[in-house]
Amino acid sequence: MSKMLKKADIVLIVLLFALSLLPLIKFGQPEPACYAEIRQAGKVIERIQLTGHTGITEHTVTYKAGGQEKHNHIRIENEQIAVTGADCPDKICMQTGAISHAGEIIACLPHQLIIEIKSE
Amino acid sequence: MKLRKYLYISLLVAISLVLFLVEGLIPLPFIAPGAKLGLANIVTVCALFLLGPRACLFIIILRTGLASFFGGGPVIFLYSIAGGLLSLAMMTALKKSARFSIIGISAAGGFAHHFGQLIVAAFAADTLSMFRYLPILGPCGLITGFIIGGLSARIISHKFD
Repeated sequence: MSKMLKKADIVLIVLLFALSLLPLIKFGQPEPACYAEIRQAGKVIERIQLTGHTGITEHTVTYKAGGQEKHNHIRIENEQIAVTGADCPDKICMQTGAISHAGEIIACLPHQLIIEIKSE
Repeated sequence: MKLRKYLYISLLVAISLVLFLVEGLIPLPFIAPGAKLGLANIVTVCALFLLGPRACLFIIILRTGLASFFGGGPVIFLYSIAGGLLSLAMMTALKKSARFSIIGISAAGGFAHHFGQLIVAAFAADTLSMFRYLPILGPCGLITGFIIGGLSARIISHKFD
């Protein structure tokens, strides 16, 4: 039987085996639990569990600069987080929209604010 | 000659049906939905090499139809026929290329069988996450196909007249 097995067979089987494992890349681990980390000037000021979050939670982050108080309004709806209001000049943080997957990020550079989703 | 071929086909259908039913009696650990020995595919592989793809197609359709009649039902029929046809297409193509041995062809056929089933399942459940099972079912098909290829090679090496 081993005499019958050609080189091409082994290549074929190895190839199909590799193909079998392909879904692991996409599905690999069951989607890990995510949380949003809110950092201001590099310091973590808030950590919010996103996985399993239901309803609406709102946060306002205050940024003090030159005697003035600036704000970013953060809204967590179910498992998504977004900046819904900001008095920063460019509003890029608001335009980013809602994020929900690990690795995604919302940045408000004028206020030195970063929201990053991390998985546990 | 033609009659002889029909006779072969009907005999092989009967044999594969028996193998299918016997396999149902063997208790096996549950690995993943759809994973099984596929003993009846010994007949499929042998028929492909002895009688050609057309006869093999007949056998697959008849066997699958009758098998789902004996137990399974229309849904199982759809899964099995998709697996069977994709497997046959794959094996026929590989056989035509004349680069592979029976074992390699059969292993690829086993893989294609599960792949075909997963395609139907993905459509039925309307979600690609069905392919989560591929890392288990794919290698299962390769292993069972490998064994079945070896058995078929031994059967075919006997002379038929």
